[in-house]
Amino acid sequence: MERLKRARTTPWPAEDGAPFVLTETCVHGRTLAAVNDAARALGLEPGLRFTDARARVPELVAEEIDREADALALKRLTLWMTRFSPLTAMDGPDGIRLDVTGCAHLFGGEDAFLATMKRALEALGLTPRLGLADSAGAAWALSRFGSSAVQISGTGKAREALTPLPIAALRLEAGTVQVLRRFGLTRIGQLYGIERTALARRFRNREAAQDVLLRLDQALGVRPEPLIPLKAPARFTARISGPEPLLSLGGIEDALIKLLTELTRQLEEAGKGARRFILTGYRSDGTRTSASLALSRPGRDGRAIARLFAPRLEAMDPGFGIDLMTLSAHGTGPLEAIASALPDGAALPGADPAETAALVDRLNARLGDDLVAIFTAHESHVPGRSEALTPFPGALKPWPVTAHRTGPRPLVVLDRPELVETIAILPDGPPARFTWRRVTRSVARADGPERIGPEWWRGSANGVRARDYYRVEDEDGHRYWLMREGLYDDQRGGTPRWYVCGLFP
Amino acid sequence: MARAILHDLPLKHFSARVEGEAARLEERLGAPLQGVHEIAPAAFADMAAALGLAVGFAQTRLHGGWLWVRTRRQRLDLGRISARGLAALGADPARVMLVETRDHTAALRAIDEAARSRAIGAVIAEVESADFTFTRRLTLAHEASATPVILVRSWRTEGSTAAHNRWRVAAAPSAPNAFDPHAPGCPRWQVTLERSREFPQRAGETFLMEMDDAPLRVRLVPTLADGAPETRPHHALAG
Repeated sequence: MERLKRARTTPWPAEDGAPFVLTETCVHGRTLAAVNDAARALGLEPGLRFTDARARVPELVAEEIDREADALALKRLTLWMTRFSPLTAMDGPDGIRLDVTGCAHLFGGEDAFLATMKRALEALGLTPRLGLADSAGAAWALSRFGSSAVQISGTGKAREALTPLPIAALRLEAGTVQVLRRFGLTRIGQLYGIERTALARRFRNREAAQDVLLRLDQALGVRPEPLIPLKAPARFTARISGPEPLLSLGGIEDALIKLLTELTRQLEEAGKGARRFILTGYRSDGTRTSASLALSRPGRDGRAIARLFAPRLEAMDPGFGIDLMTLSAHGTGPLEAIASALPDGAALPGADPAETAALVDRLNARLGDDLVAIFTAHESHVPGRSEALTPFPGALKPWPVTAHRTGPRPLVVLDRPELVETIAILPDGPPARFTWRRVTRSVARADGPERIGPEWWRGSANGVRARDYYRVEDEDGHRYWLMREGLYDDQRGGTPRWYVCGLFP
Repeated sequence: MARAILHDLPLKHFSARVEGEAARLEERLGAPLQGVHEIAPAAFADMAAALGLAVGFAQTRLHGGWLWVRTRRQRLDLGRISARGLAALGADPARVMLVETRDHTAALRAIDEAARSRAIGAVIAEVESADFTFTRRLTLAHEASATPVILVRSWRTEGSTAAHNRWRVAAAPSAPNAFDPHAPGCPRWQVTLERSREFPQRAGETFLMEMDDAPLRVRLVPTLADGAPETRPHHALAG
């Protein structure tokens, strides 16, 4: 409901303090999905039928709930919550779970930690209920059924904290809660004294009994309940939060340098470098902005990385201010891995791999990731498939010796062969004259043909005709790579056509 | 036809002082490339010849990779650079780092960045236009880094430049083919030194250059070579 209040552009339909509900259409008809405080005070609860609610409160204002937008907003908020702990996960439609092991002392103890968290969430226009306990189950119970908005149960005190809470706080199904209530069991504390086997016997159905025991054990921390984080945390991360929100590029630059100092120290200790760095800024309005940098080989030179980041920082929009920044390193690996990758004697003369890689990184940082490419040879005799461009792999690689063994190839290959008009065609040779790009050229000398058959193992060989390539030179000295698609008597279509495929220097 | 071009070579006009410079120019063509060079084709159809000459110039640098900068539009207008085409000119495709930028401005930035780096052997850049200020920037960068820059420009190129030399290239009928008189031989180009800060006395001269893939470098054709019988080994078909 609070998401709606913030996201809305049209005027709020109900006055402040007037009852307002969100409804949802389910099998029983239109029912209430969420209610505000005023409506709750009038006795309206989620799950009530809308017609009943309308009967009780005739002036009730209602709107349809948008579950998808809610889930999306929750996901965004969950990611933003990584500012408090790297391990965050969505919990149901309305909760977020954080594993804050070892995080609280960074904020000055558990009380201060939760107070900070509450303030941050309230600044977003939310009314959070926070629970902190030894186990996820206990924290869940405290946050939803605790007497105050912030509940902390100290280490080893989950059992006491849970005692007064209702059975429903164990995350049980409604039916199970009903059964327990019939036995007179309404508080979690009442379950402690009952023999486990006795408890199980009271249920007709084994699964329900197992469920009660599982949830009780999880709440007490007897059985583990691992958290699957929404986003796996990076192993190498540095974080920095300022007293004032950052609003300018200069502030972001300063923060980046501090973060890099910390991160490179971590990487140095581990003896590693990283190929990808992600800088994330957490804005005070609950959104994030980030910039990333990819290196062609693992590195950890803080100053060089800061310089490479510089053109990318402009894309980071501080918005209303960034109050926390993190820098994480990904794709980590040993620093020396590539220097020895070239086989002996095959290294290119004078190409200093480190300096070349540094230049490529600078170009990629300024112009776009993976822009610098190198040629790679492929095992194919078809000209279009025999070579390709691939992103610079961190060092120049020797050209395979076997790849040279083809006929003459032009320096420039047209993106696609261009059809030419031919005059004076000879059956076994290039045309005497042809018109390409509106200019008629007379062939003075020619060399060929080099016949390149289709790759029959690539299917549909029937439709593909053999191609004859000629190297021709016109009277002015321009040299072309002409191609005739098909032969005159191959019975595969009409008269063969001529194309210009490339230009020789 | 080739004979006529050779006839036009103004070799007979050399004075004593110019001859020293002439000797340096001829030496320079075989020595490792230095400076900022502009190569402009005489017409659009001569673009391949201009690129060939650029490769020939870069070949004189025996060490380091080449950064080859071009824009996406140039690929669509002209075509792709082929690794095997480079290999056919005697160049090692493994040396080439190809950058295809989104637009002209990005290409200029890439060239500028590369010219200031000492890590590479040469920069080959196909640019639509480059004004005096930009070429001046490049010469300053070259003075600091000693990385040679070859700008392959459009046939429309005119006006002043701060580059050391501007060459104008037109395709010329290739050298005689020793194995087949009807086949093209080694590529030849008619190259005019249009502007030169390095050899100002020789600006305006026209040379016939041949891409000789045996010693892997550009050389000047001896005045009478065209008429003389072909003696050196030929590699065009052997490759």
